[in-house]
Amino acid sequence: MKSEQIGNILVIELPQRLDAVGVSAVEKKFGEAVTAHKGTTLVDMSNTEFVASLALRMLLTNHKEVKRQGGALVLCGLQPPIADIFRKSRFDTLFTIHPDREAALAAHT
Amino acid sequence: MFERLRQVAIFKGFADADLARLAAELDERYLEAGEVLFWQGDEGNNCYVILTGELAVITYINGTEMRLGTRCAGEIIGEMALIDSSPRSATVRAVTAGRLAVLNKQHFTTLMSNDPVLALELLRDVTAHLRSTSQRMIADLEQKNAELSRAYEELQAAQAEVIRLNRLEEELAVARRIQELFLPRTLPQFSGWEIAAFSRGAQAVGGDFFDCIELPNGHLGLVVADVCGKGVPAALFVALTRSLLRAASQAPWAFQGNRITDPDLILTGALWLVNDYLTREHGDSDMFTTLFYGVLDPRTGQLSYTNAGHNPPLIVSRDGSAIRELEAANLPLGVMSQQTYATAQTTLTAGETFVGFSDGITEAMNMADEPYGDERLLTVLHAHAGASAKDLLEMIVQAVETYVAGAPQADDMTLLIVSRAMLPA
Repeated sequence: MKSEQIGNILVIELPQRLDAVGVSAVEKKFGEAVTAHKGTTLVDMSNTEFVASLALRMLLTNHKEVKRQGGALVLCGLQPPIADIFRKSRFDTLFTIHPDREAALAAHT
Repeated sequence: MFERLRQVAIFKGFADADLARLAAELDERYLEAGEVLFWQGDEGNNCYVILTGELAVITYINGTEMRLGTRCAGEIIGEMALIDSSPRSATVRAVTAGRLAVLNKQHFTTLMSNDPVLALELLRDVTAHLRSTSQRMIADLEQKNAELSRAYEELQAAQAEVIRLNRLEEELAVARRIQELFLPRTLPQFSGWEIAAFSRGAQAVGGDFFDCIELPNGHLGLVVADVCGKGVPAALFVALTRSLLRAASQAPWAFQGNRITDPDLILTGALWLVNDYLTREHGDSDMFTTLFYGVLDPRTGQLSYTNAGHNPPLIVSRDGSAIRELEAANLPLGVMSQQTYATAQTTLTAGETFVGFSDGITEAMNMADEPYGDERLLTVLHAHAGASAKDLLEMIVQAVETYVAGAPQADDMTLLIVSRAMLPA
């Protein structure tokens, strides 16, 4: 899991596989980074090829948490199968989703 | 011999004449390095005065050699067997090559009775050797004892861990049997329809479930659901969600004199209630459930349904040429309160088959961590469209198992297949 600060946006790059094992490997660090940042966190999923339901739960939990602090999780770079999962579960209605990192940064800075 | 005996400390009190007389009577024995003088247990008729070289006194404990001490030039060895007329108490072996003067029992007895100073000297030596041997044995025993205690404690801890794990396993086995009761024990039978179902957890207990709920007006509720995650946390939510959904589906007509029979009202009412309860009472857990819920009228084949974020079930045409998805996408249960669940309608015509499943089927992983995928499932459905529900289910499970080829089950797997006969009865 890579993260960097661009302006006032925290950008976190999620790994390739977010199955149960992948989620438990990043969950703690992800949550700590997002809640410590408080503001807008851009989650770059362009490398992510597989998401289990626990990955959706991780995003949802942190989104709810950071929203309470006035922040938000913003997603970008969803590969077509991942975008399909978000659409079928209507998780696409819970998050602001941008096609790629440039578009997301342009919209939020 | 005389010169050599003269240098031996215990003979220092002897007059030259006496020592010369003794020397003349004694044999000399030469030992190579490593040569055994006598073995433990041998009968002992001689003792020896070490003239040159060094000897080791050894014994064997459980087959392991243990050195009790060493004797050097000027010392006597083998005297104990002569004192108490018992077999040799230890083995004696030459460490270096050396020479010994051999005293037989008679020489020894004569020396002891004629020279009290020598006797006392010898007694002192024997006592010192016994004392040091027993001290070494005690120290060794203490060390062995400590090692044994440590090993025993480790064994006890390991045993406690085994007992704890066994108890956990037993509890999980009980939980599994209880969870099986949360699935329908028998599937309803309707003339002209066939129902088959399968659910297998990746762990002892699972996060998937299916249900067939008998509703008023002869309607049948068809449910396929998947709680996020797997194992015990997911299983607890299965118990909760399944119970709530059944109660909420059956309550309106049970409590209101069978007045509510409209499938859409049952669907939207039940899901609203279950979702509201989950978000209100268990929202902090951030657990959500994807769920497909359809209400089938077996007389007409009409299916009203709603889909709370679940993999869309498929309707396979009678010849397998067309497969359509039942999407009607809504948020999963437990994500957000006050949700109104949109419903949709379709009809299962004669020969069509409904296939509901969880992502444990399409995302079953092979050894290379590649998912089974939607395409492979569709291929099986195309090829076997005319099969009975039971046969089709077995073929899908078989196809997935062939694909994963023994890789551990990654996620819970559930299938619910409902097929309508070619010619309605």
